[in-house]
Amino acid sequence: MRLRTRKPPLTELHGSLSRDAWRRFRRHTLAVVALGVLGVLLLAVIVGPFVLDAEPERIDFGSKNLPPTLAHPMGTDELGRDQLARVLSGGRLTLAVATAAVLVAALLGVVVGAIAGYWGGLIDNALMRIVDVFYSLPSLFVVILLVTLVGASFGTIVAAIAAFTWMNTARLVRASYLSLKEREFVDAARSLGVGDVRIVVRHILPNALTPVIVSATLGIATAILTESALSFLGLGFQPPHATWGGMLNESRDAVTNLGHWWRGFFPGLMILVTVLCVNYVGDGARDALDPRKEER
Amino acid sequence: MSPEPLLAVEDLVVEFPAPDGGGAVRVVDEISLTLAPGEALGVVGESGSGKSMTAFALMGLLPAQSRTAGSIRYRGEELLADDGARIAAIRGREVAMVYQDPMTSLNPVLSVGHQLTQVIRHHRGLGKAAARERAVELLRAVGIPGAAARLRDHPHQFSGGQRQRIVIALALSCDPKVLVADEPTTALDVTVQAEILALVARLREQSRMATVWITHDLGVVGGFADRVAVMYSGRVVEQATVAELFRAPSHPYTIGLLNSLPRAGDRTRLTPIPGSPPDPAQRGDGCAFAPRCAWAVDACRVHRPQLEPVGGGHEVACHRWREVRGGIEHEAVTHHG
Amino acid sequence: MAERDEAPLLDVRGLEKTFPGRRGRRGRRAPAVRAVDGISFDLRRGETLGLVGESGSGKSTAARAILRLLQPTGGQVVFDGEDIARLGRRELRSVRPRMQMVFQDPYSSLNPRMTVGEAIREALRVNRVGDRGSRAARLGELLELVGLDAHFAGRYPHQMSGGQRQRVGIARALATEPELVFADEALSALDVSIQAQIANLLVDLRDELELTLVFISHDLRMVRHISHRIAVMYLGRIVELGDAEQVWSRPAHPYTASLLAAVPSTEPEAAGRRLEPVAHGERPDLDGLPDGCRFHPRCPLATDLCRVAEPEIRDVGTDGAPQLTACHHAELLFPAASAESAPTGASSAKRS
Repeated sequence: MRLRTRKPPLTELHGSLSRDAWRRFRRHTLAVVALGVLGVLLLAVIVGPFVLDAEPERIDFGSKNLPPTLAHPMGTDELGRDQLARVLSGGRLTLAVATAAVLVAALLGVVVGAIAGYWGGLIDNALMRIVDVFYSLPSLFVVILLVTLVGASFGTIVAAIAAFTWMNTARLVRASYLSLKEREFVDAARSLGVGDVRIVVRHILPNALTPVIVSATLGIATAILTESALSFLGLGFQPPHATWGGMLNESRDAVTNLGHWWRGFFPGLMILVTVLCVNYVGDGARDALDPRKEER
Repeated sequence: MSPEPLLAVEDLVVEFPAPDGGGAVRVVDEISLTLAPGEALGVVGESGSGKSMTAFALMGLLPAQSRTAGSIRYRGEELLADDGARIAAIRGREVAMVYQDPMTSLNPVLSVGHQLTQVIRHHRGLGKAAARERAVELLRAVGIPGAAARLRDHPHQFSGGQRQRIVIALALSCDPKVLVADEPTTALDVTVQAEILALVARLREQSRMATVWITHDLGVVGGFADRVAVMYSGRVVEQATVAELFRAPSHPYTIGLLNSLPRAGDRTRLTPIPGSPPDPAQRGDGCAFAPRCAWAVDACRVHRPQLEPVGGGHEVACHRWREVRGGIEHEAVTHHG
Repeated sequence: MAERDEAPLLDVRGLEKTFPGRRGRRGRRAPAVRAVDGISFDLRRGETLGLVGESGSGKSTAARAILRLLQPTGGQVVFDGEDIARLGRRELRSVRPRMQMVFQDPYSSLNPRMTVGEAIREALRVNRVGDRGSRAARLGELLELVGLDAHFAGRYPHQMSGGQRQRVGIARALATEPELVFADEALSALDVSIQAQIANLLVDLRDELELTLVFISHDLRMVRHISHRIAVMYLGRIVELGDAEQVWSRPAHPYTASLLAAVPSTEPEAAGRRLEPVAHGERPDLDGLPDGCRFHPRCPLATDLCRVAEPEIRDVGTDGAPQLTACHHAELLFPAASAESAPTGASSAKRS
């Protein structure tokens, strides 16, 4: 007769992995608040321009250089454009660029890291040398060169930012693969005849994604800052398109010479709030996705 | 047994807050143990039985979020009291602990000699040279070849068994009256385990040091301990001398454990305990072993049995120990054999 | 034990697995590590071989080399008449499903992000067993075979106990209907009361499915309980190989004798008896093997001969049951040897 186990009492039966993670994330008050703020921001930049009466590119010399008023909550610039409208439409572009850059960088990093970590040997050596080269290049300088040569478009700016942020992900993913490929479940899959590609994608990748998600979240902040730096140097999107960084750049003169503080304050504030919130969410995600946090 | 025990644990309770925030999980549930001077007590239990938490409680090493109740007295002095400094002094000098993983007690960046002399100087106020001499003596006592020459080596330069020997030397360095060992040989090869067991047995005879040896392997306890306490799901379910326990195991769980081990000259099927241990968060009112027990009756599922003497210093926490001992098996027994 | 088929199912000849030494500073390489150093054994269909050894003995490496999870660096692995030691990736595909492994750590051998059902269905799909519908039925069958309810198919590993995970590991290994199964320390991560459940399950499945089993463990009690023959490994070599009962009661290698002497016992007469190690000290590192017999530094029987000459494998069996040993002085361990010439190790080795 075959023995049978009784159904075991299990406390965690209800929770799939992602639900557990969400439960842990919710404990992180600051991260939840940050996520809320980001949500509002995102909604504002997406829906705002449609709802708002003002248009970001409407020039109105009759109301130029106004400090914040009820009609123009963030004031106007020297051409009389409504700053709020500009901040919102600029935010759209800023966030789109940052997200796209991070996605491209994460994809590149995962592919390179997975290949290097899983196959090892010469391939690993070659890929890691390339990573080293990208690390050692003076990134901003090269980005500037690139953008000047090719011209500033959405594609080039995204590519330029991604080109210098993927290496971290690659290293993280490679390290994960190095240790995960020694785990017995990988041996088990191999002994069943599961192919290498499937092992890399289906078996190891889901277990290696946690650090990628965290570093990508934090990478959004870096991307926003890089884009701002580019725009600040006048190498970002060209007028009349504006990003938050670009608006900061335009405001330099007005703030320092004319004392029009609102010109720089609001785009700067948006960058600050977004980067802070993204960082908090990233922290929360790291704790939530790391199940060790809960072990006793 | 001496009238005044060296160490007396009474109704010790250790609780942790439940992970979902509601209520508390009892990992150690009103256990009582005594240890006479020079005595060797084996504490046997599987994972989740609360045996390690009991050791941590003895050493005052429970995680901060835990809650304790009951009492642990060392020579009449309450160790669970709030007088931190005094108790730390007692624990440091009189009670020493050896862990499963030697690297938890060794600092990887300091030489073994440095770590040993530091402890010796701190506890015994010896000078540098005297402490060094004592360190060599200790290493020799635990069987490290070329002891004097190896003082300068770092932990990673020793093998696993040697590291555990060094940890034992470290624990012995302040002549403790009680040594608490939490599965110190589990990670070691069986031949090395036998050597370490022989070493500690010898040291114990020399110094008359009382020992609490925590293990999951009843066999390990056999050649080593005077008395054994078997733990299951946070409680002591049976307590007896080793000879008595092996001769007349009287708790169904102990019997199940013994039957789970392959015996010499018997190649028939093993008789495992069905099911698996309960989640401490979901223990009911009755005997925690009842769901896996062939002897269980309705009373077992309602009332938790207390330890009661069954003669010869032997104690069992089972409502039906008489039937169990008499071998009057419940019909259910025949279902898995 | 089956003798219906004369040719062995598995015939391992002089198997070697050498790992390159670590690259040290200034590009210098440490000497190569011979983890498996020329081992040979065969297995008849339906037979169970116990492979015993302590950490570093090479028993797991040997299993992985035989299963081609590692590439052997020498020797032959003849499986059902075909040497698979050097088969290419594609040719291996047809052999893989016929030999499977149950892994040691049920926590690490299941993918934490795959449900039980996904893991087993993958095993079926990769090996092109049936269509979608019949695979679902087979999944249910396999779970039942290892004593798990069908609803376990939807569970993740972290929602199961160690014993349940190990049952899943066994079900997955059986998914491809293998003939040869390796169980690599499949019990050692489990609690004692659960070990017995899984041991029984393995034995039942072996008998029911007529599996050939290699049971790898450091626990001699369990190995003897399950196996027909026992092979004892020490530092990459098989030092003794013979019938399980014979090896247990009449060890022909001092290392086996030390292992036996170190087996903890729960017999009433064992109370108060100390485990006396026969071998002293610890094994040397694989990259610094001693000359001569690799056991001699720890051996109570060692003589000058042992320090220079590595012993050949020879048969010291009786009654037609072969018992192979790699010891110059195996005879000293047998009760027949005169009492005064037997060194200390022999007397304590006899108890069991």
